[in-house]
Amino acid sequence: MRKRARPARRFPPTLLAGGGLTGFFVAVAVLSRFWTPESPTRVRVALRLKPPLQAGLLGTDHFGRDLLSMLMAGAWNSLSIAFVSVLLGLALGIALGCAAAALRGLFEEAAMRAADVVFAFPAVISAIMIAALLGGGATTAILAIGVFNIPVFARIARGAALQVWARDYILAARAAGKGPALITIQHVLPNIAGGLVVQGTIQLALAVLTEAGLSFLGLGPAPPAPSWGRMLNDAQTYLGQAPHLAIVPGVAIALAVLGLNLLGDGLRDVIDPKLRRQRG
Amino acid sequence: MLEISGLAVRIATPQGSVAVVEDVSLSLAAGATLGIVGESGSGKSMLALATVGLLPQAASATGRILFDGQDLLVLREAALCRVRGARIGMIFQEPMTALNPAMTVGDQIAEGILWHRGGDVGRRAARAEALRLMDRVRIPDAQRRFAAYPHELSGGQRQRIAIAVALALGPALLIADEPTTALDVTVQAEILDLLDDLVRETGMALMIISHDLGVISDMADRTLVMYAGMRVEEGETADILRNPAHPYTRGLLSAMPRRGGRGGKVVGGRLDTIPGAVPAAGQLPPGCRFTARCPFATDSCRAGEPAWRTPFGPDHGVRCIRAEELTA
Repeated sequence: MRKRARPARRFPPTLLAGGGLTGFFVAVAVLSRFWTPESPTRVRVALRLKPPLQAGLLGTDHFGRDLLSMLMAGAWNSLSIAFVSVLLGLALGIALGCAAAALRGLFEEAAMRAADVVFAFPAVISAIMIAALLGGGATTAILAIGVFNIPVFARIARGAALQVWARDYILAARAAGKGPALITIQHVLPNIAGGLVVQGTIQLALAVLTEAGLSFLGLGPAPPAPSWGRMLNDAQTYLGQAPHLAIVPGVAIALAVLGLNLLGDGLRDVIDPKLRRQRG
Repeated sequence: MLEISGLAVRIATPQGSVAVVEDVSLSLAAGATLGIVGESGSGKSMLALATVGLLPQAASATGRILFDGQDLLVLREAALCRVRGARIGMIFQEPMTALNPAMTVGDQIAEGILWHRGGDVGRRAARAEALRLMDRVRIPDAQRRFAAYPHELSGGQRQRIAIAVALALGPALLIADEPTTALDVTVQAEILDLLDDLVRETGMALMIISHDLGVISDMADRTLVMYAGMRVEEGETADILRNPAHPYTRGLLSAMPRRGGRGGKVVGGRLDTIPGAVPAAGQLPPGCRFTARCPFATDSCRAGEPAWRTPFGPDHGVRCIRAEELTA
């Protein structure tokens, strides 16, 4: 019955491209935990600043470290920091937004104005503040990006939840004697999940970019743990001699962000019922 | 069982608070059906929402709503939550939006049972009960429809599901707010039949709200006519249909297509209408609220708000100073 009622839907090309690209980066990141061509931290002075294919697939940096191995290990660092921080922002943001929509009144006003205040600080600025308090490192990056994500999700969750709260099935649920917490879990969350997943994917792209920015500034994972942002930073000095040092992590960042953005767009096409209706 | 007296609902607006329901009293016994009729804006839905304590935030109710001897208006929210659903069920006008689109219809029925009975029933027992309820509200092939989502069902079937949700805990009172307005006529008749049977089988009380006097006359033992937030006439349905005492009730009756003539054809030419519209709360005319639209209005009607009187016996109340002359 259900299967037949739903027309066969072809996945949009953006979803396939984005999913493929993202899947590739995730696979590489996971692989780097078990295997890399070289140890990404092994210094080989004799092999410093080799161009691609002369030493390893992508060449070596100024310490003679294998660039491909660093890139792979960096993928893990970048993606895991982005993922954990977005998850943090998602969880707290949804909790805040849903609570605001359910309780209304003073709590809603206070929560949303607080979100505005946090929103006013770019992630990099808040990272520098947090780093001043906690010192640099992965935790700082996660906290900074996570905190930056809370108001994003709080706003979206509240807006969507308010729409759901105005529906008759919420009135019916209240008439059935359910309290705001249960209604939020049973009726509100499942109906706003789609939009939040889409936004989550797009925020992941933003988080990868922000993480690269933070580690470029030295606020990311502490050396020698490789990260894309610091690889870019290191490359500055040798830009004339060894341009591949900048190109390789730059392309990796661009592709990872592109993949996540395409994935988000594709998911939006599939999930968002309004768009789906427009496409017929 | 349900005893409402002196109920008023006021809504706070930037211009001050206005009364959308005033001086409504009614009583409803177990197994009985009360119809509430009136045009849009007459305060019917507000009355229903006030009864279950689900008024919008800007609105507040005063008076007394006794349900099984408990005054619902002074009950705390937690206690009220236990009454709602378990003792009072409610169904709404729009079956398209009254069900959660992200949950299968079977689960929507089952989770009400799980929620109120808590640990006493397992998920499996609740689902079996839900299936039984789907049969009871005459969903064909309930077994297969259990896992369907609301968008896969027709309007009539969705309304049946909504009724099953409301019935899940065997409430003593069912409030149906325009339950058939959004459905086409044949489906409307089926739903009304179903409600009628359920009242007879379960002995619950039914408060049915409609703008359609035809629906009310089919269903209700007693009828309460509301106009601009006030009750204007109340009594046995048969009595009200035969001897409408308030000009507004008369207007509603003559605006209703009547089957009479041969072969059940609709008789009479054009239907009558009541000119004008219900005045907005806060913009009421002085005196009787119906004067602007009443063909029988006199200066004394505009002089003061008429009181609730029972000139035709204790069972038939009316709010019109000329009721006796008009029915004579």
